[in-house]
Amino acid sequence: MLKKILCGLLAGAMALTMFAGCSGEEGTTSGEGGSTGTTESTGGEEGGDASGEETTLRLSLWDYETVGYDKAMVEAFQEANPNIKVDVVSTPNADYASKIAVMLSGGDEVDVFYIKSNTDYPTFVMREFVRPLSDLIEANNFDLEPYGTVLDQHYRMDGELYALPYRTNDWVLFYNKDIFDAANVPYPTNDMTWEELAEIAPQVTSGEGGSKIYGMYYQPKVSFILPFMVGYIDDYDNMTSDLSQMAYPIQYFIDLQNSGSYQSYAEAKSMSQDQTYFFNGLNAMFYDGSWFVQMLCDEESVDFEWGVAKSPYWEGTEQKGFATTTPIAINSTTEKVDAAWQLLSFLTGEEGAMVMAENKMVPGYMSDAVMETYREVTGIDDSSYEALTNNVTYGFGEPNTVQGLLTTAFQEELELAITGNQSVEQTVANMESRRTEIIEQNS
Amino acid sequence: MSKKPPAPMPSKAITRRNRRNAYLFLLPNFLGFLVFTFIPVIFAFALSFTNWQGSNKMDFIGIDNFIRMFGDSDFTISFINTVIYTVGTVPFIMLFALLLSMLINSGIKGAPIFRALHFFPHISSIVAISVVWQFLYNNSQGPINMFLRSIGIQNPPGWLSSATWALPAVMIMIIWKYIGYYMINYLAGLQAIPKDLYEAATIDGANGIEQFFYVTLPQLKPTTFYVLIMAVIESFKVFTPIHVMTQGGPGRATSVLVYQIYRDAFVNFEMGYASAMSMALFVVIFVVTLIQFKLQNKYEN
Repeated sequence: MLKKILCGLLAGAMALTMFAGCSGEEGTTSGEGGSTGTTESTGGEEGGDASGEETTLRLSLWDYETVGYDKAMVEAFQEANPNIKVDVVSTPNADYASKIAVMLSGGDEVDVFYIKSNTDYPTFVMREFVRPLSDLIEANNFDLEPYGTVLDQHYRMDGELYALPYRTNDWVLFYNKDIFDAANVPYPTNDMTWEELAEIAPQVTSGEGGSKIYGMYYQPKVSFILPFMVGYIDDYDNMTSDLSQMAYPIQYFIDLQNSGSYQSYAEAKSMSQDQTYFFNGLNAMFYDGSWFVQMLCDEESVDFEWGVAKSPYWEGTEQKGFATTTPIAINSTTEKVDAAWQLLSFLTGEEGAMVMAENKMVPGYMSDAVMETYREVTGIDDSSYEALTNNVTYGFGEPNTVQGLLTTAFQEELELAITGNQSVEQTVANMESRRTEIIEQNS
Repeated sequence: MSKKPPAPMPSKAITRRNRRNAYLFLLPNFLGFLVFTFIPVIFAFALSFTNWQGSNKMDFIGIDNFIRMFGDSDFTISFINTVIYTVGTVPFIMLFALLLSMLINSGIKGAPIFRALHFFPHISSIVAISVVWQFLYNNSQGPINMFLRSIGIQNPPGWLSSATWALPAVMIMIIWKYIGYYMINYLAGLQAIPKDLYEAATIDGANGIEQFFYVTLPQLKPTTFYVLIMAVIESFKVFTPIHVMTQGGPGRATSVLVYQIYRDAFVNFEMGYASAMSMALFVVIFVVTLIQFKLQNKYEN
């Protein structure tokens, strides 16, 4: 009976990963040998390519079959590189973050893998799961210009790059033109503050009960709400910013909620609401990532005109918007470095970006040609196109390994505030004290 | 062994053969236990003294992980929540399970149907149950709050979205789910009580209540003991309903130990620290169980 007490499963899983961890460590040593050997073997491998020798790469990502553009990119790569076979390991979206980390710590021989988001990325760097890319970028004269400012904001750690983004998503404001027309209110502009938004939101709110149209909508996930709030603080950084300033944006959100032009967060969350409410014409404005363009284009039930505006910003701050990116990295233990680079630079470079654009997604590699394709395919109007380009972005601060922990802690406290469980002052104080605790524990 | 009289075979040989057969029968199960439970537990124990994070070199850091727990508000909060959860569910589960089993055992009409109905929550998937209860608890449109409003309660609790009510909400669901299972245990216990004890008690002039306290309860002691230990262990291990219904939220209001261990191990990859926490959990359950054994011995003597 006591056996049961031992939490057998959990411990079992740990020990399994540990078994595998041992082999992983062996892998690391041989991998190091491999990568020192890389420079010498480069020529050899290229020779191999020429002779048509086949290399097999393991690529790990999520929702391969359902997402669509990943599959299109991999297929395009296969066509361009018949001598490299790509084995795709796909995991459901919700499980991916833990799955990939368990795979890597278990010594899985994946060569190239997606990372769920740029906030997860620093942890992978610290765990030494990812291979530095500078030598490859230099050797191949790879152009980093089209990635814009996100490389420095999200990727460069101690001067080194360990991954490149294949997707860059600015957080912007989507709006339902029909609702605005009906209410005779001008569309949101590409230069609008959150304060102005709070003024127009009630004007486009109407109705009652289940068919009420809310003027403003955020997905009821704290991870979708914290981002716009931290824009209030200049040069925001999770580690160092004065969090007492967060009181203002939190209060703003609560006021918006109380005004009735945004549905109660707790309510929306308990019903697991998502973007379908915008699809169904129940929201006039919606703050979301630019990936939503694709969903809007492809969703057949959307029977209204919509537009995109640049992310609102806070009065008195410089105009900027939150951005997230999706990194792709090379496993530090892989021995097929050249083939892996070929795949990585295809997915994150111009060719992959073109496929992304054709699939209505904003890629990381935003060259003019790529963006022109994007504009044609999505058919968005000029001001929407403008909203999605040349954005000044911000994030949660310098990439570091406690970034994820801090963000989670802030989100937990924020959720207590916006569900009315905790006062704003208490929330801000708790954010400060938990930050201190996390930094102390992880130093 | 049976006492077939004339067996002048060398009895040692027989014993040996029987033993070998017995061990062979035990082997598959034992192997499973060894590989999937025992060795992992030993590993987790070793890990709890390291700073292993999944891929880094394992460094022995002594009892640092255990010291860290005391300063870690995530740990203390989830520990307290776990204790509240256990204290708030186990007695109710036991009480209701006993009452129900006595009701069903009393020979009411349709007893088998009631038995099956109450056992139903136990055989349903906890994930499915959690999802359904999530809707039941919905703030404005959930049946529970609609009912509360209809009987005149103006401000029913926000249940899962309220930091005060989220944990009780999960507890209520769990009580409902487990009553059926432990009811079956009690039912078996009740049916094993010899009828003549009641007859004797009746002759001695004991009324129903006296019979319950002087015959039923003492006779049920082994069952009660079993149910108590199992329910306590089960509740210390609670994970799924929390993971499905609240993810530990709002804030950390429903974060329990196993959920925290899971988060530290598989979200933050603090394998060493998470192992240390699971060792702490083991110690807690072990001590609680030990106390229960001691108490049982005391009462039996």
